[in-house]
Amino acid sequence: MKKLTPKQEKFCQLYVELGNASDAYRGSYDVKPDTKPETIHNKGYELSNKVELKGRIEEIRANLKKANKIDKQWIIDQHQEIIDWYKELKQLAKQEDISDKDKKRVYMLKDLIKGSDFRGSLDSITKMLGLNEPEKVKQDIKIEIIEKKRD
Amino acid sequence: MDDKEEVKDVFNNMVLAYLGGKLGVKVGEGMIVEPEDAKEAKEWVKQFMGV
Repeated sequence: MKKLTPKQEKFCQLYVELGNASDAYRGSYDVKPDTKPETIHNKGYELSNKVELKGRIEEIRANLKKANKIDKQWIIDQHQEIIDWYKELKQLAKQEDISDKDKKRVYMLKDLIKGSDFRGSLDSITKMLGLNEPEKVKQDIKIEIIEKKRD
Repeated sequence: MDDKEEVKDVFNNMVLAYLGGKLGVKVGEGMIVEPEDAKEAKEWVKQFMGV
């Protein structure tokens, strides 16, 4: 990878931190007070799309995820936990006789989980795994051409 | 048991479970539950079940 200038490196760091190319540009380059916002926007956009900077931005993001031990699987696991709590509550609710221990569990779980959390987690997992894409259905369409005779 | 009755049953069980947990598992026949606790329990179960 081509070595970046100190300003480009700072731009990449700020871009990941702020999530905005214009702000990252302002923080890493000498921007004059009278510089037009469109100019800053264009410069930031150009920089964020340069191949070598894009690569560095991805690298910083990957390192951050690694440092925080956050990846797709971790996020799915968190959602799965919410779903499991909800399922456990539902299961408890269906029991005819709820033991004293289970009653305590229900009361404890009620602080952790709401029905909307369950639905939200299902939605998130569905989107993350791309399960909400429309199913492709192959259809054979027969077109019948009826010739109409002229009288 | 039809669906409506089952939902009602689950709802009532959940209310009892909530109250049991809140009041230290003392809910049973002949036990007195404060109206505000019953209201709180019902509200939570409604929200939980999305009804």
